[in-house]
Amino acid sequence: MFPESKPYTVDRIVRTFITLGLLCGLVWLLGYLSDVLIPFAAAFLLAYLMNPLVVLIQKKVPNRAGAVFISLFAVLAAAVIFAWLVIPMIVNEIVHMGRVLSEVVNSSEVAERAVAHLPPDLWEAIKDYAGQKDVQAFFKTENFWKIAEALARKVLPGAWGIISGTAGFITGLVGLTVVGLYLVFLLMDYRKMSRGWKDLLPPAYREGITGFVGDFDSAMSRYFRAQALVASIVGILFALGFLLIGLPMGILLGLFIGLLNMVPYLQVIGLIPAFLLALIHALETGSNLWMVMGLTGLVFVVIQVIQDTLLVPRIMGRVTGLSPAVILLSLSIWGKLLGVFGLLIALPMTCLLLAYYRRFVIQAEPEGAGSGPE
Amino acid sequence: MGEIESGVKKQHRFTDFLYWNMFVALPIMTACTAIFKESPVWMVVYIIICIFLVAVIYRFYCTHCPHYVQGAKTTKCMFFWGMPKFFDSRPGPLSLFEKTMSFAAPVIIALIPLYWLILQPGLLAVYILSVAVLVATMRRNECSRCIYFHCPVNRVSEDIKVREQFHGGANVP
Repeated sequence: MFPESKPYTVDRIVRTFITLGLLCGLVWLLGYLSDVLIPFAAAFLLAYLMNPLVVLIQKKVPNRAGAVFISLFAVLAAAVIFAWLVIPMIVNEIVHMGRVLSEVVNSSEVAERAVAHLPPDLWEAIKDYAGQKDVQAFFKTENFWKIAEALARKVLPGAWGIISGTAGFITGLVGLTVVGLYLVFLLMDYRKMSRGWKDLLPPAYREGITGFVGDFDSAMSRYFRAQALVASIVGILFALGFLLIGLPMGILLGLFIGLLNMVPYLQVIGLIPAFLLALIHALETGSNLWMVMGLTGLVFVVIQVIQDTLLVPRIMGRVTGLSPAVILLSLSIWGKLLGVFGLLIALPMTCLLLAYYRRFVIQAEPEGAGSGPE
Repeated sequence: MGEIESGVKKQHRFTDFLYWNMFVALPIMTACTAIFKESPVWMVVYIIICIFLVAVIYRFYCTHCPHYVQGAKTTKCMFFWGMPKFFDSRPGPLSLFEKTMSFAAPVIIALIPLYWLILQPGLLAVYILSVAVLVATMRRNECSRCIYFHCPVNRVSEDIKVREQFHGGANVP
């Protein structure tokens, strides 16, 4: 993989500069073509995720095109059913939250309870936030698309600019159609492409690159499958836990915390909305504030114990083998480099790079078996 | 984990029992919560029906399982730990009636709560997710290395089954 040390001749230096120049040109070209490459990349990612389903269906329906269309139909149907179930719930929960917030601001009874239990500064801050016009307007909206638009404006201002301003609605639709077309064609030719791309590589680098891509693919699929399972179970547990203690928006918040679990330690962020909702719930219902807060904390503690003692050791095993400090450092670095995507791939990428470093730089023996999930 | 070189799992540990019962508990708890919100009485009825149907599964499905056939007077498997073996063991394949009962019982347990779950779409979403996670995880992690070769959903490859039975493996009747 690494060439032996050679003397630095003029020829070698010129070649190095030409290579660097070509690399810079390639990066510039990628930036220039990013508008047309992004739909392809999105479709490629979807094709990568959907291909196992197509392969499964192809065992029953030997025709590849038939299997692709059945898979696409199944995925679309699942998305529609999920939206049909979840969208009314989101709207109802948000409308309910709006009523609660309006009571928090306007009701003197709630104000009395708050003054009795909360530090004055905290109560003022909550009242100011709940009284803001855009917050009130957001929670009074009953149209899902307006809620989604408001959320997108808050959460992804940059992306919203692209959708609404630069590209426009029609361009967005065209973009989606292009992604759909790419997806169909990529899925049809997936097998051929996954075998054929190796032949396009220069023979000198073929073994190294295909080895790396193979390891990358296997590490990613193993990690994401395990992490998605942990996240799903934790999401269900949180949703049930919050529902049982009567927290408003409990199911939604629980599933959201589950989703955050796709990135290790990110579920800690869920503590803030959970305790805020617990606070508002206690003020609204007149329940004992510390009891409600305590129950919310208990849900977190119980689920964290289940996650750390039962789920992670069983499902993830010692897949990563990284210490918590290294995990946090890796999340910070990859998050800074690639944003949310970086957070998602941080651990498998770090493990892969460390494994390559051990194998090729310090020439260490590969670590022993038995580190996988049970 | 009680596995041998062939890749099939011949023994379960207590942590397996805890782990899989937690998986099963998720949809059952979701269903109970949904029913309880509408009618606590129906929740009790549902739990009684569940206990009866689990007994049906124990009688018609588990009595053929090597984990039931082998060993002591109590079961030690991923779903039942320390449960007395009330019924005689029946090594060998399941009859059509037994297969039907084994299939119908879990389906009824899963379908009954839908009436109440449809009234609460949020819980329905959690229920579907938890059932999907249970089925997918079981098929992927257990069915593919299970020694209950006569089970209709066993996914161990034929050559491993042949090798196991040749070596006097787990499921030789």
